[in-house]
Amino acid sequence: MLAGLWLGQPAWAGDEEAACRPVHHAMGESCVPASPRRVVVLDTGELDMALALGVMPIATTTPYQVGGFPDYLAIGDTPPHSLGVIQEPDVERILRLAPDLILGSRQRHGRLYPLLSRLAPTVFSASLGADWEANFRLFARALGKEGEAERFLAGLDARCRRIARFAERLGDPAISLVRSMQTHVRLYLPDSFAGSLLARCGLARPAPQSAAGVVRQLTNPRQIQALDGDIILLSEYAPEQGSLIRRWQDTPFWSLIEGQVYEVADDYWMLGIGPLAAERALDALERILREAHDEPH
Amino acid sequence: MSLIDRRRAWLPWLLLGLFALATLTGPQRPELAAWWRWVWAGGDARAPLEALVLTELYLPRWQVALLIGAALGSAGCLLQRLTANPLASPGLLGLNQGAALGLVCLLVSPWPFTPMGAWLAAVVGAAVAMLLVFGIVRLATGGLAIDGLLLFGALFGTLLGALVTLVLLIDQHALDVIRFWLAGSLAQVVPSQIGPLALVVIPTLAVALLVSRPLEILETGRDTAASLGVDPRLVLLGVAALVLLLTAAAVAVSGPILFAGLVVPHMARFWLGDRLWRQLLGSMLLGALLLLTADALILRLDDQDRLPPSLALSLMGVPWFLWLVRRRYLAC
Repeated sequence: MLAGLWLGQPAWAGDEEAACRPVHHAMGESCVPASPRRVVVLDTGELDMALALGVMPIATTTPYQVGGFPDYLAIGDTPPHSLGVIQEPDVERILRLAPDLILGSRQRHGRLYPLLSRLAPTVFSASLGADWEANFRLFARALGKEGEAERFLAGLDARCRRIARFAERLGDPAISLVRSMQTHVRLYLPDSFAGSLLARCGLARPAPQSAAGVVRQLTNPRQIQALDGDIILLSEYAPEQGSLIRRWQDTPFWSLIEGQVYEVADDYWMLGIGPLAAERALDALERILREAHDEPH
Repeated sequence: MSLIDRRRAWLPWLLLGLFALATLTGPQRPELAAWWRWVWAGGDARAPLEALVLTELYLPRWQVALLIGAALGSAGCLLQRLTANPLASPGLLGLNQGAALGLVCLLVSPWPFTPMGAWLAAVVGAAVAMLLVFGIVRLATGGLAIDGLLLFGALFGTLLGALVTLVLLIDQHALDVIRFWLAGSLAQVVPSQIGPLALVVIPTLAVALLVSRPLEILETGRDTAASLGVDPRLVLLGVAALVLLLTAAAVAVSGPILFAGLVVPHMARFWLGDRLWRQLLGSMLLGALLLLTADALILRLDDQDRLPPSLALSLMGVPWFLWLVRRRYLAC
């Protein structure tokens, strides 16, 4: 009986091997089934990319403070199983779900790779954020949907061209990206996801935000002028649990801000890192520029 | 006899000098200069950033340091005299941990976490902790012995501290928000907190000076006090209530600033003498000056403002304490 099981194993594995395609990724090479059906994703970015390609994963993690799926991802009546918070995905649960593909990133879950790659073929991107486009193409390869990915990216380029025309008519305003957390305020620089979207459309940034980097943290209102710009896109991480920018808005320091503030949704500008988030963010940006153009302040 | 022994008058001047030195050479210097130029020019144009930094960040911080220092110093003085224990400090009654638990409960509750709400939650937490300590000791022993209160307070404080740790371990973001507060710091002070703080601290300090006489009578012994018409239990409860108000109001703003309540009464005794009203007055003034100086010193050491003032307090307080112990020891 035991021998039968032991002997059965290679036969099954060999079967799989015949039908699978090798995919190069940040941790090496994995052999992925031709059309994966049971996909597990380890972060909201990968969830976004899978959904953009028309694949509904069977399980995913959720951000620890928001505790659910980002609102912008239209998830129907049968949501994926939850694997707990991004920081600590429930590996036992993944094992029980018997996935045929796991998508994640070395930056978030690199140390889990040896374990995960024994449960199912695992494809990891190197990092998150500004590299989202390359990651999208990588995961599209893993899912066998390269054509869909290219069509999606072409749609984003069309949006960018429209946005660039509006920006030109407004005299290339410097756009500031600000996210208020409970204890600090973050400025998003060109190497972040949101920053890469602005760079993709060739938009100008205020001088304190145009140096290379991912984020810059402000904790003291004496640095408040670093967040100024012609257009300030402001999002709040978890406003019901406190938001530092609201405290700053109550002080005279706020009178030093000259730009026009537009509140934007945190879930697709900051939380989700992927093509669906990019699509929503660019649509919002187009509306904001249109509004700024129609009624100049 | 004058109020101050002339040979010991240098103590507050030394603290003031240190404060001035730390501030004038510290990270505030360019802002002080810019503010001065702005005021000199008439001060009517829109305030520049540097002037705002001074009036909106440093000035409230100095005011709060003075209020909290005075509150913690005199709370320590009252408690040391009440318990006849020179090592007693307000932290021993479970107040700090109670305030921390109040804050943490607010953080995990659905209510918004605003500076004013946080202040109220911490005051309520401290008050509930102290009432529980007094109530349980009364129920368990049938009396209110000082030793019982201190011992049970320390024990109960440990339990509350464990509860705080439990909640913080479960809710990661709560830790980020109150990390500064747990270490005891003036970095997160908001101008809107000054009003309520002053409203509690200043009247309480005035009352404390008024009730120093019955407490001094009580120090001569419970029976003597009773025969002089002073109800020992009333004095105990009254002084405990003053300590609660002073400590809770201060801790709610800055978090537990250790060492201030312990070392200030000893400095005050050295400066103004042994009579309770003198020591109390000295504790208010020295506590205020000491915290102001300690806060200026840590800003001088680290302009990123990450250190708690307790660090500077203990750097100044420990050598002082050792010197005091040695003097007393050699005198015996």
